[in-house]
Amino acid sequence: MNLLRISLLSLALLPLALAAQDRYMTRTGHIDFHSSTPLEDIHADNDKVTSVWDVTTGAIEFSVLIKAFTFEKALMQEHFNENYMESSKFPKASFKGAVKGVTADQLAKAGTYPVTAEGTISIHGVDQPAKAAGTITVDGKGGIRAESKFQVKPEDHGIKIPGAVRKNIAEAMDVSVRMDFTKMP
Amino acid sequence: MKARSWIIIGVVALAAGGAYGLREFNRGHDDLASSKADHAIAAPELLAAFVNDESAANAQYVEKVLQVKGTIASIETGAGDAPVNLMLDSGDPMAGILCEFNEADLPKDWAAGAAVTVKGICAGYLGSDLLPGNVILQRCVAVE
Repeated sequence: MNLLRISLLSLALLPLALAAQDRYMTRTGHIDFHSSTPLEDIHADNDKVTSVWDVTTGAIEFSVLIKAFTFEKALMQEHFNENYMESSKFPKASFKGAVKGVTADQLAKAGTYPVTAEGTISIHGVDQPAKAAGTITVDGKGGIRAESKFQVKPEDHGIKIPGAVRKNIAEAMDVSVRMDFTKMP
Repeated sequence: MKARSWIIIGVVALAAGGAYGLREFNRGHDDLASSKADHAIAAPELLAAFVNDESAANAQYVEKVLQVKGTIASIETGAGDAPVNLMLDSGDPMAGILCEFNEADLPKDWAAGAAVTVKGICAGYLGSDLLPGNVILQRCVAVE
């Protein structure tokens, strides 16, 4: 009787254990944005993106600290944080959504899989629906890299750009994301 | 004579202003090796400060130069020109102090298990619903 109970309980818990094995994470993902106008090029990198991806459900989330974006010029970084992103008030940006186009079985085999991510992007305290195409690449050693390029418009997130510098900053920023995921313990 | 003096003063002021503006525009980041630390703290205490009260810790430590003492949990070299990531142990196996180094600034003899002191700018605390947070230090240099 007891043995039967334990067996049933183990069977009932099995899906949970299996699902937990299909979570991937990174704490050192890369994101950069670039704005190019005839007057000025602006570029910033952030190598501290945290992301968790549950391959079974497709659910994915990213989060970044705005103050972890680094610019070549210190003044540009200060203006970005203080005048545009107000990063003391809104310290983080995030994306929550789902990845479609790849299955847990495919991730066991080397290859490049086209995917789409759809969800909500939150920047400067303003949420917007977002959709982006990307790729998942599985290398021969089982390493998993996710890459995507998309655009973000500052004005969509309530970021005010003064008229005097509007022509120095592109209408839409080109954003690139690159994550090397490892399996969650 | 008076008008001429004013013109000269004006030209000098404009040149000085322009030079200052240009210098300010092109200013790089401070070299942390020669900057004085705003706070000296042990790795587990720094993480605990953010876990216990993130907004108070943000006000106290973010954008400040921190000198942090701890034990190296791991060192990971990024792909391509990505920075080196050094994790200082906090007592929690899932979280720590994540220190970003340029490869050239990381002493060659540093390895997991070594007791070290690091100086860096604190960018804040970052986790997710499923992951406990790390404290992030950037532009790190070795102190000892």
